[in-house]
Amino acid sequence: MRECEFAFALATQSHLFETGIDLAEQNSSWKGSMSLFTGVAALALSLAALYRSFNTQVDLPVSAVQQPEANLVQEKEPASSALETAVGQQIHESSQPRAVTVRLPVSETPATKEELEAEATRVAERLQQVLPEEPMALHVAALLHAQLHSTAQAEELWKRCIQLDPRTEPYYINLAAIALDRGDSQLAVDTLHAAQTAGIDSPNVKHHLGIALNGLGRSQEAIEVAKSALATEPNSAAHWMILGQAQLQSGLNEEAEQSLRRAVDLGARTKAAYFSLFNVCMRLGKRDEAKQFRDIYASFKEDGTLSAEDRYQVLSESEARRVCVSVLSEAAALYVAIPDSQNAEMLYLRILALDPKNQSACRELADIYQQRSTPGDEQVVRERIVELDPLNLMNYLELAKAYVAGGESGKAESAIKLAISLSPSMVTGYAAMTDFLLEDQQPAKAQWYVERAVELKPSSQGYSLLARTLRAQGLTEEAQAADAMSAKLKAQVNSSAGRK
Amino acid sequence: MRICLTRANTMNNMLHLHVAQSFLLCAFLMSGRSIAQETQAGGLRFTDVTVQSGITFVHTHGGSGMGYIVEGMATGLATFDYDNDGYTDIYFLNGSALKGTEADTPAKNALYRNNGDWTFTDVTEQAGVGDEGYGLGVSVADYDGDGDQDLYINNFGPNVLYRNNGDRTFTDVTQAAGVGNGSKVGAGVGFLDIEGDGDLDLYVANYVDFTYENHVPIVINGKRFQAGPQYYSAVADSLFRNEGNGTFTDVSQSSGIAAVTGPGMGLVCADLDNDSDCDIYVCNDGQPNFLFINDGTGHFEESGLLLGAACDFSGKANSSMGVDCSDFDNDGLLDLMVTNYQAEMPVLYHNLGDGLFEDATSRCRIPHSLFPHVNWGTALVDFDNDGDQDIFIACGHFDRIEEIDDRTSQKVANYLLLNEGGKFVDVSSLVGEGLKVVETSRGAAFEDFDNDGDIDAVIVNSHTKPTLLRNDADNNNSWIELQLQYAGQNLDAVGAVVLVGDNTKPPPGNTIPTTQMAAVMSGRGYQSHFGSRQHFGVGQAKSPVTVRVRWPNGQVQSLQVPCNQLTRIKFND
Repeated sequence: MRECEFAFALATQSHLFETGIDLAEQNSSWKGSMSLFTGVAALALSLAALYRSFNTQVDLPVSAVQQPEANLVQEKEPASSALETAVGQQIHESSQPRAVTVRLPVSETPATKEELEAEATRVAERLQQVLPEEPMALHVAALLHAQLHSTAQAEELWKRCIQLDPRTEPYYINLAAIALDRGDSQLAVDTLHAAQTAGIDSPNVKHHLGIALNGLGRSQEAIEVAKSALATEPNSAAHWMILGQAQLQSGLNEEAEQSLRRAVDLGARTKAAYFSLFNVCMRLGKRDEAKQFRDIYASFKEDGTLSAEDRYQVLSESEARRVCVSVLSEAAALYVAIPDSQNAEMLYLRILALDPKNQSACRELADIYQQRSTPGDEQVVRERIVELDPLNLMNYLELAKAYVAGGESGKAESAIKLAISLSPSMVTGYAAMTDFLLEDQQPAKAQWYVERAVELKPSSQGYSLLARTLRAQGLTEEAQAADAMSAKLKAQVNSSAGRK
Repeated sequence: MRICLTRANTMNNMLHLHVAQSFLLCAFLMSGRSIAQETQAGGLRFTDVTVQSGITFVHTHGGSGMGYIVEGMATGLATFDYDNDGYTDIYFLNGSALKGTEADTPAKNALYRNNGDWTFTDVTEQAGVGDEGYGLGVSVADYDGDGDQDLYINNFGPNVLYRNNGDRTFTDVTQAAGVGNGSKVGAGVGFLDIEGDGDLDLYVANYVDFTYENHVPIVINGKRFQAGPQYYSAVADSLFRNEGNGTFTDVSQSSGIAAVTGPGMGLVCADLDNDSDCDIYVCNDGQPNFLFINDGTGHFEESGLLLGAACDFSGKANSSMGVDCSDFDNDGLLDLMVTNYQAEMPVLYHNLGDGLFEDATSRCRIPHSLFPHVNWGTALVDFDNDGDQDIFIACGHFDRIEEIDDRTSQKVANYLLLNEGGKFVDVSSLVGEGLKVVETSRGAAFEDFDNDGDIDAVIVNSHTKPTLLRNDADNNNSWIELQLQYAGQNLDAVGAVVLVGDNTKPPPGNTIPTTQMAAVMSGRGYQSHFGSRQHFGVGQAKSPVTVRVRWPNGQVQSLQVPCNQLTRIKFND
């Protein structure tokens, strides 16, 4: 079973019954509206999550599908990998010359909207041919068709996805979304009910079911569904919003006001939320409060300045580029999973030609080269990643690993030093350097770094590494003391975990 | 759509059992649904009688492939009894050759006289109303109080006021009356009495500042499409005060109308806040709609947003096209039905009283199948005479949209929604071939053309012939039709409200008990005019029904009106 851990954003049209809330993003960023494009972004993310699960099943390295979060490292210590970076583990394992077979583009390849659409279509169709019974392949094609407003095809493909894999939530939600877009809210409701029947009764499904029911005017049912979702997620602004809008439709004005206020308090500071609050206050005769909400509503940037693309709901060139990149990314990820690294490599390179700053593609490509043991190519890509995201410490450590793999220990050391200089208060860099120096037979030099690490964050792993460093220098007693300290800290951690 | 889903779901559930069985089940469900819906179609049947009617009018949008913004807007129409012979006639607006278009014969508007036997005669030349301007909006009223209805045409270019001479001819009095309105891109028109002085003033909606020089070409996938209004500047609407002597004064600024600008389209003028003066509701294309609240003196304050009538339920400003006004739920308050652009639902605004509106579209089950289409002409009219107002919606895109979007197409069948206790049911496919006509429709007008007691329809289709639909309803429901005659210069009683029925409990916001309510308006639907004569279905009533008329001066007149006939009601008669 492939489970999607991502909350999935509804790719429904915003004009029917807009909550302004994307469930997937409610805890991060609030959006003014839900559009198909935001749905696409979320779709890509959800696919990434799917692939992660998929790839795990086929025993591919997790790193092959990792989606690092840019620029977060300096704020958040990486997990235990900090002391397990093993930058130096391969230091003597490879002495290959740096054979480079790849160059990365630095500027966007020109392409017209039509060319981009045709390319995405070609890739999606080929994927369907290669994997005709693979729901994720059909999913990618459906996504593309939805973007190009070939909605009948998208609908059929998602129906097929559900037939092939009735346990995957995004297929139901996307089918519901495209049904709404085609003016068939009954199909949307039936699809989401079918998801529930299939055992997928997540708050996410309930959220979208609430939207669809509200759109059908079945607000009493929407109220029940929203309350059911809130029983699981009582602090979900999105669920409170659906509930408030359903109550407003039902004329339950007092209840609607409370629900909508709760939604706003929980973060639903959207145009739709304030408009609903304005309306309900007007109905309750609270004119002053209504005007306050109206002013907030009016202060939102008016999205009525439609481009021609918006008016006709076709893609602009930039949107076509984004969609093309998205389709190519998903196709490439599927090729990685098959595995067919050659197709995957070519697609990632094409993505970088279309979008040279695409970090995800860089990372996936670097991982492919790492798997192939072509450190020269990996270095080229990881150097690009460092250029794109120079504040991310992990990028330097990954680059250092690639240098080590290529036998370029000097460059590796310099990369780790740079990483430490960027984040001197984080343990990760010191630990990585220690590891590297130990592998490079420089334990005395390594001791300085590991001591800085345990100063910053005393930990069992830190003292264990210190012990290793001391032992490598023949300092047995000191090493034993460090081991003892490591054991003590580990016991404390276990004890603390047990109490919790 | 639903059937597809049922089939799909059935297949999903039964795939491993027996696929063929699921299709059988699907067919069963399909037939069951049809039967159920047929019983809800109110015995309605619409027959397309265009060919035999003698109407040979063909609309032209005047385009040459450049995609000028005015091409898609065209056009509205007017229905009125121009010769007072008791039969409602039809006035078609036409486009004209736009820049780059060559035409041997200039296109012109056309007036068709109703012969009373479902044939019509082109009397344009005799009547002298063949304006060759680029017609976009039209309305009708007896602005000079001489007992016959006059015509105002809102063009792309100078507008035209045709005064009815009462002898089946008209005179162009635009210049003398001072209502040419410059050379703008016109839209809806309505006559109303803004300050209660007894004569009819003139509201003229304006769209955007399009000229050939500032035309914005839009090319998508190598094909030319029309640019939307967002590429141009909106133009404030115009309000002309009737001086009572055949001339008008532009009071757009002093009245407060010009304080705001929007790309205006269809409009209605009626007492929307129930305070006995006439307010104005204007559709805007891509901006919040306007609700101009009259303070009773002819000064207006735009209050659409505050009163909940500017945007949809989610606060989205739609691209609104047409609007009609009536009381769909018989609560004694005038509601609004607004049509919108593609990928927007039409919006039914329910009047909550005190001038406050709510978007009741979903609650009233306006079918979501309208969502993909562009909606234009609309009406709240009782087609099946069961005592509540149904909804007609004209559909169609102005571009070959199907080339870039499979959800809709340039030519789409129109919609008829029956009112079933305040919820609407799509019966379009169940009422005969008249609703199966597939064109790209715009303005639509609704009258009892044959005086048989049910409402027929005439629909303008862009760049082709119109559609004339005869209502062949097969039910025994009764009806009343009322021809109001007020006093002074407003003989048409524009602004009067008719209340039918005798409930004892007044609905909220109204002091008069009522079951049905309608306003006498000039200008309705998509930049059109219809319904000068009031029509009400009264179901199974056979004995006279109570009718109350609230005249424009607020005076209420009550009388018993016999069923199944036209009744003329004079003020203080």
